[in-house]
Amino acid sequence: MREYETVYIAQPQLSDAQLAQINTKLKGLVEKHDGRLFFARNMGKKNLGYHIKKQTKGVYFCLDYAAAGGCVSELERSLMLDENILRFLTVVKAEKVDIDARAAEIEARGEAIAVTEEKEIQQKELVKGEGEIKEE
Amino acid sequence: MFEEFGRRGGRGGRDKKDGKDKRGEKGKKFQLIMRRKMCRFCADKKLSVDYKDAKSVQSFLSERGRIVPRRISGNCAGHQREVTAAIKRARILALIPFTTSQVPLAI
Repeated sequence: MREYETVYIAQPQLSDAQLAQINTKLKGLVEKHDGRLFFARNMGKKNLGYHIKKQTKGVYFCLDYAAAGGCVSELERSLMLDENILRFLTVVKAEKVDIDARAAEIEARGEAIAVTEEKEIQQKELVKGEGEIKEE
Repeated sequence: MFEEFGRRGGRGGRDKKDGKDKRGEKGKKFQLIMRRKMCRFCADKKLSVDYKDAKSVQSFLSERGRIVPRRISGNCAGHQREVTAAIKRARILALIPFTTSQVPLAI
């Protein structure tokens, strides 16, 4: 098990719900491969240094997780196939990780919250969506 | 390469001679030593470069977006390697342009 860090850039016009959807999908992928996602941090919408897929802006996300190598290739494959992703980069953070200790450390820093927040947003948006459908 | 070394040696020799001739200029020599740059990462262990933070990397780029050489930034070899790796990662993530000629296009 190694600790990896994947930064990806999503299309700027995506809604919060869509971004959360991507994140939960990636989280599911990591967990499917017996990995553990420590946090998914939204780094915000930034101007790109150069055009990527004719876009001048992008939403940056940073995933930090512990997983086996097979999980990374699977994750990168799904990012590659997703048209809403402009670019991604995976970096090895540590060769060996004590998963529980690392999770506790990140929680202590208060960074673990990001994942749950996104879930909440998604749930809220879903509730909103359902409401709209009912109204129609 | 050899020519350069030869020239440097020559200069050093001249300086030594000057020092011997005019002992009153010891102060000048001292100033030269003081001016030598220290690696800022070795001096402050807390400092680190992060490829995700464009600002921390930006200080090691020239106006044209090229990597500033070691003799100007003053980094030690190991830290310069870290900085270079961080810059290259930041370029891939479009946090920094590869060249500034791309910037007018982006705006």
